[in-house]
Amino acid sequence: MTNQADLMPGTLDLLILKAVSLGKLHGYGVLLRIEQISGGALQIQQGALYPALYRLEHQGLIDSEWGTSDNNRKAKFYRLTPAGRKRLGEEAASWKRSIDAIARVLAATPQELA
Amino acid sequence: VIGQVVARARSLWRAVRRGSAVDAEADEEFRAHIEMRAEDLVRSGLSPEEARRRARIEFGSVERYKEEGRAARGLRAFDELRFSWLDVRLGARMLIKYPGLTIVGVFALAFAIFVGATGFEITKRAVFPHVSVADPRRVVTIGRQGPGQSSPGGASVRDFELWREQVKSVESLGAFRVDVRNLSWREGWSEALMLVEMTPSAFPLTGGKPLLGRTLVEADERADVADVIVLGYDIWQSMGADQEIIGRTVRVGAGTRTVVGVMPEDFVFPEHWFEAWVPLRPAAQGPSTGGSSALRVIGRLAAGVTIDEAQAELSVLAQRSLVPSADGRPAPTLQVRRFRSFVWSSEGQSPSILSINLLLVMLLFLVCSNIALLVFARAATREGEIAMRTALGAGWRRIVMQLVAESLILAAVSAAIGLLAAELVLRWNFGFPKFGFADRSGLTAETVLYACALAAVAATILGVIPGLKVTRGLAGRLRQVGAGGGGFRFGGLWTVVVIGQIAFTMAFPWSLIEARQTVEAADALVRDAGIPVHQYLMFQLQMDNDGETGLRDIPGDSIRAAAYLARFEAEYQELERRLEAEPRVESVTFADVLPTRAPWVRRIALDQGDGTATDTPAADFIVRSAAVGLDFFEAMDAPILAGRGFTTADLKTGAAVVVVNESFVERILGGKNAVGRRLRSLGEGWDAVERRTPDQPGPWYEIIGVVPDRALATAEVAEGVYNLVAPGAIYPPMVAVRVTGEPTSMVPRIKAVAASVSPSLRVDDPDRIPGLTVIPLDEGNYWNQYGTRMIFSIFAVVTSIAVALSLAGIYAITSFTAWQRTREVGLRVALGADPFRILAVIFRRPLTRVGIGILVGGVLLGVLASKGFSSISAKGAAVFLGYALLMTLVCLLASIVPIRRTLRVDPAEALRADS
Repeated sequence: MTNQADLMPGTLDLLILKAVSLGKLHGYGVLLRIEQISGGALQIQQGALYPALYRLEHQGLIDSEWGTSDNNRKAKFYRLTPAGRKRLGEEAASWKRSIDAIARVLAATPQELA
Repeated sequence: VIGQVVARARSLWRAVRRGSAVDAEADEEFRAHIEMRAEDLVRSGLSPEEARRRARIEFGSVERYKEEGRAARGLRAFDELRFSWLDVRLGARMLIKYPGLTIVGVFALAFAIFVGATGFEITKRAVFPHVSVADPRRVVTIGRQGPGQSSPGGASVRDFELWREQVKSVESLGAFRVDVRNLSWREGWSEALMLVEMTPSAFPLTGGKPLLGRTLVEADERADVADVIVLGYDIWQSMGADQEIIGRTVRVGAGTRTVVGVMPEDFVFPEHWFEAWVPLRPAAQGPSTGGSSALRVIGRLAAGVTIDEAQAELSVLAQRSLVPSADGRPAPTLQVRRFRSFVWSSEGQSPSILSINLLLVMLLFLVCSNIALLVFARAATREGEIAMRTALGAGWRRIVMQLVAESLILAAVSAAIGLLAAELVLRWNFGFPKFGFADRSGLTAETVLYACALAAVAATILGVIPGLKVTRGLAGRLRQVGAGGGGFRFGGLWTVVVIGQIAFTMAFPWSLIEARQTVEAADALVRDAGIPVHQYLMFQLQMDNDGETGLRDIPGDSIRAAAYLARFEAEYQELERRLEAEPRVESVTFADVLPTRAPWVRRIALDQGDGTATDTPAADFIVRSAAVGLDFFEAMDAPILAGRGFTTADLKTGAAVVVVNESFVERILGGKNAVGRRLRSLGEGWDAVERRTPDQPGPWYEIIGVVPDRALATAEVAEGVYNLVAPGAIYPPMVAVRVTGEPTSMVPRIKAVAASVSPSLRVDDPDRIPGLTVIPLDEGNYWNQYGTRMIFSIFAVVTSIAVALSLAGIYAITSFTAWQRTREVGLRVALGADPFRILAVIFRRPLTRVGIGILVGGVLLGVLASKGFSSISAKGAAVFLGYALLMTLVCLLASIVPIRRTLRVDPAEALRADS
């Protein structure tokens, strides 16, 4: 049994939005930050990150520009747009509501239902 | 939400615009990612080589993510709708693989595009004829517009001089008017010339540059310089295209003029049948023409002046200078119009012309729907291939686009052929010497564009409709095919198309028969003329009026008119005398209408036979009438059957006498004696005959003789009345010359004799068809005989092709439907079903379709006939039934061919066969 968790469908976009909300990042940086914050629990198929990034950019939730990475490599950096920030807030709240609900269901005991 | 839509649209637009750069960026981004990952892995202790390998594996398929990336940017639909070279090659290969369909498709589509382009070009020329104008936005015409008139009329010489002096907002004012004169440039050669008299100041407004020599210049307007003429291209060509023509003298009417220039072929002013330009000298017109309004005044808006400002100035001028007429009608106004729009609006009958184009576009749709049927039937036979490609991941858009690519090739080839044919036919001008709408030039750029648009629409219909039909529900059908059933089905849409088409084409052969009757009526006029028409030549005789009147052939001034007509009569008599002196000429006569041409129709009242007249409507009769010369009956070989013919005394005393024909005696008088009865006209023309206009009773005439039916009898009205006239009393008369031997060889001689009588006598064909002058009487009704025949031929070709295409389409769909049921038939036969019962089941559906189509077509025709749009003759009805039978046979044949094969084969084999 590993300590890795499967990514729930639809959560990748939320994770990317959160990652870039903390500062502008290139694609590989997004990947590292998600792994770092989750303590390595969330593993993403690396290439799959990019279609998601492009989709978010297409939706106007993130923005991109070419720049230089820490080790002097040309890289494309992504950052959150105001629309993205708004969406992140909504998604996070909705996520929290779902999690709370599921947690409550899972925590339910026969006594409570009686 | 709006922000999102905008963001997506912007992103899509950027991606589409940047094209391949999007892919290059993704490549670079992926490479940077893999390298950064590899560096991290090296830091964690892997060898550089191993690190790179691991990084690539962890990343996954670059191509796949690139593809997904494009999809995420909304580019997928674009990718699928994009043509590739491969599509074109595949399309071409499919066209070669199915040559039958390709040939039918190309031929049909080329035909539709040819018809569409030719129709568009001709209607465009009719509505927007070419006119040479230097600056179409600023060249204007000014004219008087009386109350109730919708466009400005002409101006008088006085008007023109006043405007030239006073109008400030329109500059370079010039004027022109049109006329006909005899042109002769060598002995025995003369031709009626449509010419334009214009002030040289107007010439620069046309923007015309001479091909040879010069145009008209200001000095030409002065009365003390030699008369000059600028020739048009066509007339210069017919004079032998002499490069040395400048400086030569030609005879124009009674005077001579020096040729100073030749205009190029594309110079058209004001309309294309005008072939020469001579200076107009307003100052020399004299007071008598001052009040006439035959001048058209043109000019250029002064710099910085708008047309509204010019109109304002002229309105003020009109208030000052124009007064109400003596009879109390309000004063006319002065109106300014752009000259080109003025020419266009006076020519235009846009709605009817547009509706013709609409019909032609409908023909294209008919053709397309048939080819689409064929394409679909073929695509259906490629089900296996299409299924395979779908299984390999081709989206429905890709498959549709491939069919579109194929149709585009088909349409492009067809458009090229169709346009080439249209170009050739227009230059050939349908075999006519010249016509109002055509000038022997080819297609214009707009028409080529229009045809390309038609081709693109056709390609889209041909590709998209069968494509969608084939790909819709493909996945579901794939499963069924695997399970042993399924296959394509023609749905309700095609059923409606087929039924509609049968109904629509039902009208074609029938209307062809009805149109044929017009041609036959024209032929009947010649066939039933009752005289040896091929021995006669005919022409219309006119005379230039240089001396007697200022402006027009039919003058307003009665004294001058009388002098003019007296001279005309004298010249006619001299012409008749000289012609009759020719050895090959047997007789010469004239009339207002000659045999083979539809004569006038008239309503008459007859007396009661006892000397008292009756005007009760019941005693009215409809007759054909003609005004004829003294020796008409002799020249037409018409013996006097009763009473007497016309005499010189009748002519001299102006006796009120008429001669009637046999049909008149039989039908109106019941065979009783006609001589001595009296009749009078109540009105001429169909309006009078059908009592749409009030009666205008004329004087009483006495019947003095009876002749056989000659010249006047037509199928509708055979009763004829002839009255006697002097040559000057009808203008212009038609002259008939009976000759011995081959008649057309006498044409140059007749023209030469006319020229020798007077240079101002004009010999012309009565319909003024350029290139025709003296024509044989059996071709006397050129337009009726050739025009209706040509239109009939075009209509017949169009109809035949449309019908053939329809039949092909109906055959294809019926045959395909039957073919689809071969497996079912095999099964039934295997189970021991009676083959005849199977046939009955198979035929039921196509026969029902044909039956409904024929019924709908018949009802539509019936409705049209009852609304008075057409009539149904017995012949037409027979053709309708014959065509219905043919349609049914085609359907039966289309069903029987594939089914017969199945009925013959071993049932087990049929079951094994791939359906």
